[in-house]
Amino acid sequence: MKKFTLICLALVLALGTLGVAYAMWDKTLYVEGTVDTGEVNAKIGSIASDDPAGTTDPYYGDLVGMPEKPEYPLKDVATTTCGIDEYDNQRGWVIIDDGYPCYWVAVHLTVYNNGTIPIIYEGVDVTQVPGCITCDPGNSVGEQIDPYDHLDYTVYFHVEQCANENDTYKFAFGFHFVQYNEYEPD
Amino acid sequence: MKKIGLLALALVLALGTLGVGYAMWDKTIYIDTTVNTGEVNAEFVNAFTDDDGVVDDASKDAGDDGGGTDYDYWGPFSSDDPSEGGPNPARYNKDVGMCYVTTDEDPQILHFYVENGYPCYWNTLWFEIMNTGTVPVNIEGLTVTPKGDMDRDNDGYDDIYIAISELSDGLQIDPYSWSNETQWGNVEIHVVQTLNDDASGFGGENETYEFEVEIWLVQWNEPQ
Repeated sequence: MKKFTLICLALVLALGTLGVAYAMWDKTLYVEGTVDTGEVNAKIGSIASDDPAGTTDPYYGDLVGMPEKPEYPLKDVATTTCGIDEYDNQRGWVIIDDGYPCYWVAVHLTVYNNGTIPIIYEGVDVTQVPGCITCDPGNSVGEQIDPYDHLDYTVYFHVEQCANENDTYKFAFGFHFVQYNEYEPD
Repeated sequence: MKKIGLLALALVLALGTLGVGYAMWDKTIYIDTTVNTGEVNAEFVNAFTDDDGVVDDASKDAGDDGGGTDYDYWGPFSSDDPSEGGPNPARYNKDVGMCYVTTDEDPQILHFYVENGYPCYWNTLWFEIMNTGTVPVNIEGLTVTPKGDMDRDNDGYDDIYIAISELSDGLQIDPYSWSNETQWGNVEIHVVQTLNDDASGFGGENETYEFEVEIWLVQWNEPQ
């Protein structure tokens, strides 16, 4: 019993000593931080071709160094219709009906920046475009769209001489936008 | 006869004892002592960021002029975004993000906010610490504690880089009352470049990240 009392006494003394050692005056300053990130986003606001049904086929041969006007009279042969995907406003669709070699058409689309960060048009991905179709996104690479603002683009399509008759070419192409500080001009 | 002798002896002893008690000369000297303890205390007495639209200290945020060269979302409340941390950083040519700091009722707490951050947006919070106590203090610890998941894109790296500069463990801050000196420090925040869209297209956009910075100060003579 006496031994147990001694142990208790030693423990009390040890804790007391420890208490003295920790009797340090201190103060802590705090910085409470909150970081809210923004968003990079874009959508297609409108899309239209310059060759809807009932219009003469356009010609843009001068884009590839050909004469400004063709040697033949232009006719209303092909038709190009386009629209925005019903469920995804980041996807558009273009259908060329009755296309033929040397048929040209321009598709105009408006892209809105519906994010919170300026975006820059970095280029178009045409890797899926078949060999006998040309898809020319124009020269607006590097243009900036600010949040809540929009920019108009024109994409030119050209059916090449090598296109097959009675064939169907399905492909997708994508406009690539990046946050403004990631854009690196070529 | 023997009885009388014993009584006399007892009387002598008693009187002797009494005599000794009264024969002691003594004096007590008193020292009235007062110990006034000092105080360990410190406060934030100044704080600003380098993207709040105001040049608070030209040696630290000279470019924080409230402008936006090529895009000015926040108007006069923010400036062209810093593209690096630290004093007088290089800046982008757009005002997209913003950061600001507010004080608390408790002068030992600051509240720091970043709005519309994006990958590679930097900002720096500057703050001035004053030792408002009477005892020199040393910095015993500097810690950053995330509140919640900081790797929202699951790439194995924190999405937000947080660093404390200008302060270090062991740095002494003397009481302002006799040194007339304060200590500046800063917290640099970087929305990291690796904050990319993952396979599901999620890349930390429209997220809120919270953290707490602690600056632990102790009396100067406490061992590190």
